[in-house]
Amino acid sequence: MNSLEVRNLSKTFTIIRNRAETVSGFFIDLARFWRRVEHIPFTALQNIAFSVAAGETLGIVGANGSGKSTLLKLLAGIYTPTSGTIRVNGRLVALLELGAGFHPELSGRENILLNGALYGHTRVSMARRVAEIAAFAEIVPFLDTPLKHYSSGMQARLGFAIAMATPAEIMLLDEVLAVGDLAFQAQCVAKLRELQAAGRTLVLVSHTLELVQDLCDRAIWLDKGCLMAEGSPEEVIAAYAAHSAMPAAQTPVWSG
Amino acid sequence: MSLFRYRDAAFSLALLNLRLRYNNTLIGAAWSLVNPLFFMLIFTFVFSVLLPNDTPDFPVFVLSALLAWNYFQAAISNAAISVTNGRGLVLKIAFPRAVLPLAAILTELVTFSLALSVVIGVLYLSGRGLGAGLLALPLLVLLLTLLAIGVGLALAALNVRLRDTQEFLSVFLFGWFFLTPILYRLESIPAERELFGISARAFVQVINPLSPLITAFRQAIYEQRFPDLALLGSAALAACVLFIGGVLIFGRASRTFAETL
Repeated sequence: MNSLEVRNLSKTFTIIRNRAETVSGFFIDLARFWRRVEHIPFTALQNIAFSVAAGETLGIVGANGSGKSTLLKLLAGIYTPTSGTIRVNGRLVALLELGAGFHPELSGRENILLNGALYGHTRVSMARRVAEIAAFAEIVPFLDTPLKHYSSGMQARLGFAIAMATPAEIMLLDEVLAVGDLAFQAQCVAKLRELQAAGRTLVLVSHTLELVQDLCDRAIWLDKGCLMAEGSPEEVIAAYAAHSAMPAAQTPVWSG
Repeated sequence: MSLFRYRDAAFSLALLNLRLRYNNTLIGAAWSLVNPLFFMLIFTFVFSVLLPNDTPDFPVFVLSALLAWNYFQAAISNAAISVTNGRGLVLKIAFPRAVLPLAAILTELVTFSLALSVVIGVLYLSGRGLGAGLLALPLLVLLLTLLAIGVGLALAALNVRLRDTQEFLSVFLFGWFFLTPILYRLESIPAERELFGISARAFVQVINPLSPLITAFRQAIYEQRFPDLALLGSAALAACVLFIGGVLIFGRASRTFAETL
């Protein structure tokens, strides 16, 4: 059974020039009896089709602006597709940015409850996981300190720890491993392998090609909104690297 | 995506709002009482010293309607800016968008309930109970909240598209305040006065969905009786119509919030 099935998916953003953006502007337009509104379509994704089998890990690679994040937002339900269909079998959680929804004035503990709630978990169920999350994020002594006093590394670790403590059947991860020091990254990779072993479906967007190669069963390559290649991580990364006019060996890798 | 699953998100955000509001303040939650009491003092001064009138217990008369109005206007103002202020959340997390305005309204509901309880307590201590009016209050608070949710959802959606909705709202609310029987009774409007071809009383009642509900609050708290059933009927009708309208508008608009923001 497939966890995700994407058919003929397209997303066009319309950049509207000269449209009234304010109530006052709206009335001025009405009074003028004309509006020269320009609609400039921008196609972020064009006719994308792929599927992810249950328990599989799919990597998505591509240059900046190729549509990777748009694709994840569509899968997550944050954006609405212009055309095409997305079928999701199972509970899906999208981690587009670690610490999205954190508030600096709240303590680590309160942020765990708030963040969990924004992802659809009750405060009671999150309260039961506080100890486990704090231990993994290595913030136990600072649990009741306001988040504004945390280092950025601590905040990122807390974000990742919350996400890992509330696993869903399908998890979308956008570049979330590009944080933390080497030791924490190793811990993160170990955690992802645990999720794989537990049969979760993962979709991973990353510029860290080594990671895609290590973790993913399959990969797709997006360029300017089009699906360029699909297949084993080795093939897809090779095609992407060749297209970027850089030998695969010299492809910048940010971390190990 | 059921809103019920995300109920704790609205609760947590409301808790955050309350904490931010009352953190680092000297008298904390008492602030929610200071504002209506101060307004009451000003209005009492104006209408008993400068422009005297013969309404007995004028402070109670004003406060009985003013508390409800303050709740309503704070609820819809904060709901209106909730989605635009929550841009970071809307773009990164896929929760039901209605969580944001609902959290804003819940915040005000908590503050209002506190203020209302204190005022009622003081009234009882001063030997002036509410009688059967007390029984009606939960229903009145519920109807007012439904009304605020309806209007607040619609304004939140509008503010995403037209960003100065919030600016217009503050001007609009000033006019709305005086078109609502808060400082006066509907019956104090001269019966023969006409506006746009209909009697001014009917005009205020028809154009202002808040009018019957505010009058019902006054009957419960000031007149110490169960509000007229006809009044409750029109208040309930207004609340339901605006609630459903707001839910429909927001439901439709919220699909493209992330794209527009």
